[in-house]
Amino acid sequence: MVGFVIQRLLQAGLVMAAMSVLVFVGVYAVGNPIDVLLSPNVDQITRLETIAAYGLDRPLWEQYLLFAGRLIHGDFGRSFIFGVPVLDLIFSRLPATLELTLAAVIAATLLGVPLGMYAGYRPDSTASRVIMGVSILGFSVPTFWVGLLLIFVFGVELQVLPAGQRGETATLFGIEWSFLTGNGLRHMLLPALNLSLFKLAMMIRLARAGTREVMFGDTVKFARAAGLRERTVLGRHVLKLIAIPIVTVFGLEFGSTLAFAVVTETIFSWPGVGKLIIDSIATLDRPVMVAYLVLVAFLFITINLVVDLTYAALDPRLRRGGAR
Amino acid sequence: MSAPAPLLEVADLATYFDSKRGVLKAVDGISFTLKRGEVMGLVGESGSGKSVTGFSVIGLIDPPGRIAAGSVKLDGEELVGKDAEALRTLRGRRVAMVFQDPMMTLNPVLSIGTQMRLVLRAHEDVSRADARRRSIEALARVGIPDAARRLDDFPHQFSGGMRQRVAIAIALLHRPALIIADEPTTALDVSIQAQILAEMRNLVRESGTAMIWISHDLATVSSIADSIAVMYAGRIVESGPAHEVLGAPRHPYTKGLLESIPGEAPPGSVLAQIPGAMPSLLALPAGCAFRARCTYAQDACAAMPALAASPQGHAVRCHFPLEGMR
Ligand SMILES: Nc1ncnc2c1ncn2[C@@H]1O[C@H](COP(=O)(O)OP(=O)(O)OP(=O)(O)O)[C@@H](O)[C@H]1O
Ligand SMILES: [Mg+2]
Repeated sequence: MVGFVIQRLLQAGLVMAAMSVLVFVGVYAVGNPIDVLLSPNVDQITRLETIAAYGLDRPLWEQYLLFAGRLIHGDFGRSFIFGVPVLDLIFSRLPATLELTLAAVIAATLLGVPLGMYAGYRPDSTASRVIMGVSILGFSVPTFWVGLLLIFVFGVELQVLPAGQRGETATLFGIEWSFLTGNGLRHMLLPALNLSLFKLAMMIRLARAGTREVMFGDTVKFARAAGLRERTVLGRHVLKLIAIPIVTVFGLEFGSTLAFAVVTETIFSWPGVGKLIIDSIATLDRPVMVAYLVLVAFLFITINLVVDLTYAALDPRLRRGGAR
Repeated sequence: MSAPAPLLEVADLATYFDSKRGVLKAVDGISFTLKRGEVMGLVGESGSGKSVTGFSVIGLIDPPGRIAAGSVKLDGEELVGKDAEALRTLRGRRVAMVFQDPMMTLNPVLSIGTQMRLVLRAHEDVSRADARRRSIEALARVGIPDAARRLDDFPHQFSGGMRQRVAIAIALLHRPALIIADEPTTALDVSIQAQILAEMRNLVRESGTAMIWISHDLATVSSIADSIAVMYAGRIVESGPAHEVLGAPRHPYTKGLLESIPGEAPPGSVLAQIPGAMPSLLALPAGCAFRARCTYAQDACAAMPALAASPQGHAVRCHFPLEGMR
């Protein structure tokens, strides 16, 4: 197990190094930040001084090494626009995205897995057809459109739910959270629903496919022959047998939503990371973009590692194999 | 006075599967009885309906399958038509089933102890500690060394033979009156097959459990069964006391099966295989289903022969039963 973790950490280090090069070069290609930093009418000397101050006159590889050196020390630089350290900026926005993402992914899983299992258990029932219809809808309708629809119906027409901002927050561990207040929860509802629809569809599909396969297997036959109740068969045997793909998708969806909740955050003016990153792209705030992309890479590597470790916890057959 | 009611009484049982291509008659009117503690061998080639018979008895036929006719009585109590919950409380408690491949039947991601606890709790309110104690007892009874420690192991940590012992221990947890063993040794090494066979024989003998031992292999059946029923295309074509059926087979199909056993033929001789294949269960020919492969077949075989029994209970479904073999 320890060997497995060390091996995975080394791998993660390599991937991070490669990612930092890609990110750096990629962002370099986006445009010249000097145009953003300075007003067009400053004189040439100030212009050159600023370029030198940010190290933008050096060769690309030198700029990268400087950047990598700072990265290793956890220094992502300062935002060109806000003038504050980039990490502070990102972490000030992260809780908003984090709580929204967690709410969406957890709700989608807690709802989607039982629904999908039912649809796999009774594939021909009317309820199962309805469930699968919802899942097809969740896959095919674009997120932004659903978001607008939600705002229109619940925010504008019925006026039962707020359709923007975080609402009241409360402090936990020195961080502001919306989910701790009733008002904040109400504000979370629509954007979380918007985010979770696609995930719900995916969880339903996964759970259904897995359940259908397992139900025909000998494990279920043997459990039934021993007189187990259907709910025990489903809740203990089947759920555990289909858990691995579900955990995988949970992890990846959590990561991708945390990183790319852009559309929903924009529609609902949710002050999270997605909104920050869209703004930073519009303003060519290079340090923010770079830091964000590096953190996203880091996030995914971490999630993959956690998912792999969860596999080992879920499936005893993988434990020995992993250690070797 | 009258003889005690048999433990299991199956009469004219028919189990069909509805499919797009028609009605598949997997089991088509079979009857047999089983006394307490009796071991019956149910033999026949692949697809003859042995497993479906087993599942029909424990009420585990799911759509598109259905029990189309007949009756299954356990201790005089009719099981056909009972509701799902009543059948569930019976399964695993009064009738248990063991399957071919323990690698597939045991859940790979649950520990043996957990799986045994689930089976215990399906029928009884048992505490964790009690479940543990009884599971250890059951494992020890089937010859698993160091049972207390192995309880927390997972199926992949056992060898093939040990895994099947675990499955058998699970089947014995509630001390059922009847065990249906569906080819429980087929997936195992030959040397281990013999061990498991011997142990199962002892276990059922000690506990007075009746058993239906399903196999396509007459040789294994001969060493465990008191009586034998031979199935062909969903019907029983011959049945009776084991020594009668094996020693003096009367149906040409049984004779063919016996001649294809390696140990029974003189060493060096070519094993006789029954030529041809079983007809499709979707479109069974009228009359004897075996006649197309039968060297004794005559025109009369186009009519279905009745199952006729001798006074010793040796029954055969054939117009031209063989006499005094061997
Ligand atoms: N769930 C099912 N749906 C449709 N047909 C089925 C189903 N289960 C069994 N059958 C059919 O019933 C027939 C008898 O099958 P069964 O499994 O009882 O054979 P068997 O004698 O146990 O053979 P084997 O030695 O291969 O296990 C086969 O033709 C099979 O295809
Ligand atoms: Mg079978």
